[in-house]
Amino acid sequence: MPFATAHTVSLHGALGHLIDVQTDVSPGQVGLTLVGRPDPSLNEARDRCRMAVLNSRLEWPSTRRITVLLSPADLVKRGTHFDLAVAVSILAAAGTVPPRALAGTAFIGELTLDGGLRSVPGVLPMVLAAAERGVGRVFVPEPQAREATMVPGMTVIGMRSLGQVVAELRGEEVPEAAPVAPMSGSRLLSWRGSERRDELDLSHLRGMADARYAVEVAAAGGHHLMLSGPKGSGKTSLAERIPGILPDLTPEESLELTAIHSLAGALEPGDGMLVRPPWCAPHHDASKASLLGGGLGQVRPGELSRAHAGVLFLDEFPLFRTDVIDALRQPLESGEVTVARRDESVTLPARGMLVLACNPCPCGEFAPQVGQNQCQCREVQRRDYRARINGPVADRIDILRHLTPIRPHDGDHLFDPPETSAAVRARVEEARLRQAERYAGTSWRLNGQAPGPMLREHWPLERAGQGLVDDAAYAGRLTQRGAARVHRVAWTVADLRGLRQPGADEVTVALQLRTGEPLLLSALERRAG
Amino acid sequence: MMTGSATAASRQALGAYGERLAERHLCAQGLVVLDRNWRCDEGEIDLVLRDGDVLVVCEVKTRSGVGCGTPHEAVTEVKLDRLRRLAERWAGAHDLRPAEVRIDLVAVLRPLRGPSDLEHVRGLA
Repeated sequence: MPFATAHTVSLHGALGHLIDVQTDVSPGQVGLTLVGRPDPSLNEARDRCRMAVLNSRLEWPSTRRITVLLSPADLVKRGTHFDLAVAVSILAAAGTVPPRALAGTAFIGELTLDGGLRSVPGVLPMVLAAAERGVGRVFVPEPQAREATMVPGMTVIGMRSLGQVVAELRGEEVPEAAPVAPMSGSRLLSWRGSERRDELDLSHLRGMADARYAVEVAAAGGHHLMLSGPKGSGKTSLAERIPGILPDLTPEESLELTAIHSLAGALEPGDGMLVRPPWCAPHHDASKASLLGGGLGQVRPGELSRAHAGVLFLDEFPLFRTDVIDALRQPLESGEVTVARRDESVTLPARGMLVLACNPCPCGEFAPQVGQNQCQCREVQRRDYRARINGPVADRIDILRHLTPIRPHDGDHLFDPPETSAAVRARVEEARLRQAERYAGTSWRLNGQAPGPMLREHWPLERAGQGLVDDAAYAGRLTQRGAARVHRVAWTVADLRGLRQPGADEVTVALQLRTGEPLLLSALERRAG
Repeated sequence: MMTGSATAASRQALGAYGERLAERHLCAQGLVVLDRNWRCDEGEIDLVLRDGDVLVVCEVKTRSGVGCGTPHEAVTEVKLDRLRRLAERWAGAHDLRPAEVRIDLVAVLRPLRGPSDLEHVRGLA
């Protein structure tokens, strides 16, 4: 029968569709037609496949009319990973490979002219999608076999060339082939100084009791945080230590994050699952596409998605372009990024903590105390700068902290050394466990992600606490969104204290965290309950 | 290498051989030859046949090797267009109005040694 079907996966963001590559080889005007909305990069697959087959010393049906259909035909197909499925499907239709061997199998990989199999981005999400649709076996380029084996219950066959794939399908001995080069990464905007970050510990920082507590609350509830203060006050040092106090990712988060990084082509061949929360710190020159996701052709995840379940740190936040700052609004609220294109709209998860750092003025020397103020900026400059900080993004920040420069001998604890990251992480973990228990069966995991109306209905504040929130809202000190955010933070404060419901005390702390007022020392007593 | 020493005469002879072979094969299939090597200012039709109610214009391609591609690959879109126009011209010249016109290809491969290989492709495109 001159007809065969091979399976592969088409990705739209983190969504995968199983694609049937159907090939008919029959007499007629010689040629290869590819139908089913291929994009230009996929149309080139025709030439790559033909040369790869011929150079693998396999029979190409050069006296036949070949029609390849990518079905479902209404989806736009993009990418070069279709090559292998197209080639195998043609070979099966031509009788070189038994068509039966293709059943329940997916093929992923780009072909070179000499028949080699090249790595492609996004193998993990593709294999995940294939597994969900009942595919039990998958052929992938050798360097990416490890990535694909993370999917439970999948038989993964890593191959170096088309010749090897064909031999395996025919049940013959697999020939030798030159090793495949791993994919070149696209790591231009985020440095992965994971080694460096392992050495960072909260115990290295002196003083800042107030800010430490704010960071702990933010980490426990997944709240967005803004650190403001003159230069040298420890904003970056503190922010860099946040990943260290976050617990390991849950298996679910770990899979999501690894899939996102695979889509971005940022997984090293040897990388296993990502289990630690990521830290992304793009420079303030970052474009909207690099932050939110986008790019030419296939939509690549941006820094916001790469920081999923971790920390996205925007240092010198007011220096980011205004359109970039404004574009953050919607993802901060919904926890996902939607990139709309003419033909498709792609949604990627983006539930990271946003940590912003800013100076009080452009020169960074401004201090409210008259005696210490060394600011050289003009008032107009200061006002412009503050306008950027106080924009709509600030309304979506749960916790605001002003840092003051540490003076010599400030917070030197001879008898009471500062806490280590591990100690704080233990408390954060405990608070997160309480949240996980409370929110079991819902689509969110942390207070910072819980939708406001659901919180008010199912997890209200104590009456006295709610009164404080209402007062602040009535007096115009809180917007409705602000009220919901205070509600969430109050729950996190209660979770850290091990309380069953947030009361007036917790709400007071949450309000202070939100408005940037200094906390009272008693609020820092972590075990108030 | 095989066609390196081919002269115009030997190429013509190969073509004529292919056309004879094709005609014999098509007749054996039950097609009726109406015309052969019909020419006009636009070109030439190798064979015109009748297959039931269908008028068949047949192109015969003969090759002594596949070094320059298979005979099948020699029929391009341009060539196919010309054959369609020629079919119309032939029908007009003979005052015929066939219900259906089909363009066929007979590919003949005649290696230097061994038996010839012939394939009849019904209905190109």
